[in-house]
Amino acid sequence: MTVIFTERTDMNWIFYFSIIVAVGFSFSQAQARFIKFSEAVNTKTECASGNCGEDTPGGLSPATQVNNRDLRKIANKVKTQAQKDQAILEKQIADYSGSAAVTATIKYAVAKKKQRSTGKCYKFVKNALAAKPGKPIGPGLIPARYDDVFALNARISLKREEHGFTNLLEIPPYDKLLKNNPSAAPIGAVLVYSSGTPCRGASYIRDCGHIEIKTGLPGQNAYVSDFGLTVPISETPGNRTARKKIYKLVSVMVKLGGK
Amino acid sequence: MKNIFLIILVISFQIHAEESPKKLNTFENLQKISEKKLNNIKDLELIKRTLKILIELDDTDPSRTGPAIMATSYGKYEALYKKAAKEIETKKNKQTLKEILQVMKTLNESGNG
Repeated sequence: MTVIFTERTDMNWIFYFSIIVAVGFSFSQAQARFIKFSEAVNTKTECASGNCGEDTPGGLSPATQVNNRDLRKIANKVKTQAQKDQAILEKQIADYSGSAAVTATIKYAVAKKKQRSTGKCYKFVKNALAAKPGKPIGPGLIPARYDDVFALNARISLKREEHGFTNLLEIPPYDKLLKNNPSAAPIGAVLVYSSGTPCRGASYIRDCGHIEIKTGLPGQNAYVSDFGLTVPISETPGNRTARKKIYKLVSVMVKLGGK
Repeated sequence: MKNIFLIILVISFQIHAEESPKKLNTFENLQKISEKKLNNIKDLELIKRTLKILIELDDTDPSRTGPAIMATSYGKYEALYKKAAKEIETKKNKQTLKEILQVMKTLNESGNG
């Protein structure tokens, strides 16, 4: 180590930093041990003074036992309710994925996509969302195509009342399950990404974003916007190898409860 | 013992970080060029090289992320890009080049919506 530091004097600060980290670590360990020891001593003292609760079974007063039972009941109720909510949510998502509107959207998107990007991902996705079974354009997942210049804004526009989409990244447990993991999104989900690449509509926009629909189809049709990809755009080799990722998933939009 | 291990870990991480080659992938290079202030004469070769890279990327990257990165720079120096495109244009790359320039123009003028 001495050799390293005499040769690379510009790294002396690292040495001092390491010392500080090491000392801090030791101190926190010692503190934790001291707290544990203090607790043990306090417990012994209480028992010595006859305050260990020998007069009640399990060392708890009857009132505390009743309270504990009540708390356990409430906890079980909350857990059961959460499980029910989760099951309802899963069914709503499954219903969305299997709906005729989603099928029409996917069919339209796949039929209209180009071989390569035309720079109009959002326009194509909006058209696909407006597609209705049996008709090319009409009230489908959204009533009609709307004006919006950049894809990143879809995370707000699609949540508007007339569109009724929900961002799964804001709902547990999907917030953790889908974070940076667009492959796990349900079929028909509209995936919105930040891209860090600017564009210009009426004004300069710092982050134009990207949008695509997960179709669940094989090959180049798996993730479709104005073009198709086999993997989500955030998982393409160019994005994965970049030190600073270009595409980051910000929204996984679905329509719940037949809104 | 733990402390010594911790110190060695920190030092080795620092040495590794310093000695790692600062490799940038193509998109990161394009990002750097897109942020560069360009000179219509001096940077003609740079833009010609950039367009050649975008043409090469076009085969493997249907998302055209490269042109998307360069869109703002295109908006600022449209004449330079057009001149560079004209100089590297061949029968083989003519259509691709045209589409790439169109994507940059579209993104710069009306976003992706």
